[in-house]
Amino acid sequence: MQDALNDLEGSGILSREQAALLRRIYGRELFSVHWELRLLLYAGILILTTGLGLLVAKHFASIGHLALLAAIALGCAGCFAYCLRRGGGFSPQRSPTADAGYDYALLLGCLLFGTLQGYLEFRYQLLAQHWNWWLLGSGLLYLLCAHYFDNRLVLSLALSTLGAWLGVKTSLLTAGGWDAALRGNAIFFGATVVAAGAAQVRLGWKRHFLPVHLHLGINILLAALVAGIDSDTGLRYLPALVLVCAGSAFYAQQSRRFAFLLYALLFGYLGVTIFVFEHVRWDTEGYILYFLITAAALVSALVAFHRRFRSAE
Amino acid sequence: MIALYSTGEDRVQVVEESWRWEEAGLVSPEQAAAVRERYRPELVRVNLFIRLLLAIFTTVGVVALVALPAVILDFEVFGIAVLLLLFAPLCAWVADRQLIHGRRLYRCGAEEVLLLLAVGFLALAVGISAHEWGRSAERLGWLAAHGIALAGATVLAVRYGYALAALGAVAALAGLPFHLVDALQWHQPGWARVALFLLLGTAGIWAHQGLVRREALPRGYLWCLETVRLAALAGIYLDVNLFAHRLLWRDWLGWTPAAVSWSDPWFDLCCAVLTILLPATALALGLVRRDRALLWYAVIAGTASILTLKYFLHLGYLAEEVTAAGLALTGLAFGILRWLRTGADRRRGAFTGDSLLEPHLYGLDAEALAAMQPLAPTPETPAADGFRPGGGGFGGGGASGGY
Repeated sequence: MQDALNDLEGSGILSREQAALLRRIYGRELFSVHWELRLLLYAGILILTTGLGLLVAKHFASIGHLALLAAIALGCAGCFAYCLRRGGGFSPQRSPTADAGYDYALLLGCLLFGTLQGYLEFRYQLLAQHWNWWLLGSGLLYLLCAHYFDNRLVLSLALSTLGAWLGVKTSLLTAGGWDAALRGNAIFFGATVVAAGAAQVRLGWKRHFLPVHLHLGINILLAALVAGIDSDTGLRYLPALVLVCAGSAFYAQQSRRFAFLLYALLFGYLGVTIFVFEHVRWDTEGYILYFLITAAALVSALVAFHRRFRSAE
Repeated sequence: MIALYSTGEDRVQVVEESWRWEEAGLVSPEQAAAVRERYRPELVRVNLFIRLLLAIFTTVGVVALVALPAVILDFEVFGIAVLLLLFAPLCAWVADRQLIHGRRLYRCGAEEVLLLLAVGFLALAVGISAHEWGRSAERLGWLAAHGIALAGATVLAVRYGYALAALGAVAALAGLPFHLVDALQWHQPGWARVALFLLLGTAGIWAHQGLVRREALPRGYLWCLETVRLAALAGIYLDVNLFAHRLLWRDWLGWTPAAVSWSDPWFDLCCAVLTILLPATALALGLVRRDRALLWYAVIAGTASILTLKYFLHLGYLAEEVTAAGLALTGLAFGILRWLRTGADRRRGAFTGDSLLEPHLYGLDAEALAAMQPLAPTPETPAADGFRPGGGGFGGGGASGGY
């Protein structure tokens, strides 16, 4: 790199200051431990919350429920208070992060809130068989926190919790054969998450949340549709799968986010293959030929796609 | 490494680094574009996701291509072995001559998979061909296949600088003592462990020595050596950490303590000392040499050591230990961050807690990182007038930034 930096400075592309700074970075005279410290912080918070959970489970009889509840609630409130004090308030745009501990304090607060809910339900059984409403409550609170404090990690937590609520609710309410209902809910949830992301972009509200919405929503939607193809009513799911895959591939092409091309081709290929194998009776040679021809066609299509869009850039 | 890669990789590296400079706000988009134009690579590269897709569908196609004549002609074991022996050089030729030298492909998925398949087909052909010659011959056949896999992965790492092949070579090397014990029926798993320890130690030290002159190494070799060093260190750590060790050997592999000849108290003590020493040494070396891979190893292995402390030192109960470990790690991270921030220019010596450049992982680009963004920290916002050391703000947590 040093030779390239000399060349770029000599040709006037980089200024002397820029080249000097880059030389210091590549020569390790300036060394960032940004990621290492964040990894340590993240591991510490996860271990701490796990330890607290174990501690609660072990000592709740001797310490007393109210003392434990108060301690968890206090910790949770402390974290949210810290974020409220240090944060810049709500903004529909991306907000700068206050400091290193801000995001992690918010995550800790949310995780402690989950522990508090679990403990309340475990000890007092406030909602009894309707305990899944705790999931909805925490999901909505996380969603609120994600938007207010502008935090994508908590947004992922919120969407996952809401998805879990739908799944648990379906399995609790449906007596038997709940896989179809679960699949329907997953399709509804995936489509809603994608639509919510798109709506936010149109409204100009937290546009940078769109990738989280899309990655999560598309994966849930495609997984549910592929699972549907394996069912008795598989024919109904195939057009929807093809449509969503085409949409995902189109978005990949338009936005040059090729992860969505990966989702489209992998889920689409899996779904179509399941459908073909369930509805067509071939000899072994036929199945092998199917794989040979489809793989060759897809490789050719990918090469053509790359040539057209120069995906490396 | 082949001349095409050793000469072409430099330009690829400068182009890829220019994206990082632009994302970190060190250079303007116009400057970055000028860098990319000046260093336009001759090698053909593709996006990571397209590379993955090409690798997957090439594998499907080639396996189907091999399977088709085997099914049509109703081949038995010998026929399949011959077929694999025919396809192995064919795959290697297509990858090397047609795709790499002919079309100048550089880590595009298809050629990588073809080369890996060539090694796999060759090993498989040798392994299965001994099937009909009796049990002893079959054992030796699979041992030879293991040797071919090890040699093939090493050749791929040396010739093309593939880190994945280097990882495969270390895995094959680690498994070799056990395969030897099994094939030759020595019934001495304890000695196999000693051999494993020595092999991994030697590989790790060799790679570490090689990395001393990292500035002079092609990028592919650098990744290979890093992979070998980290894989060796991880293997040694998993072997000496008693928790991981017992989970691996007793619960997963089903070896009883009697089968492992070392059950003396000093053996546990040695393991305990090494479990503490390995991350501590890696941390010290990482800080002295400013070696990022060693620092990552130290952080991960150190966290694992703290978590598994109970298996060495009985200080208290699990719940208290885990809570104390969490508090200690969080406090340590916050303390270091504050200490670095309060230094002159927000740094202490060469170290800063601010982000300088985006992380550069093997073959991953910014979009790949965005796909796993919920865990990825916020990147620095590009400054309007270029980068000024010490002026950045913390991102953290991966929560609020975008790629």
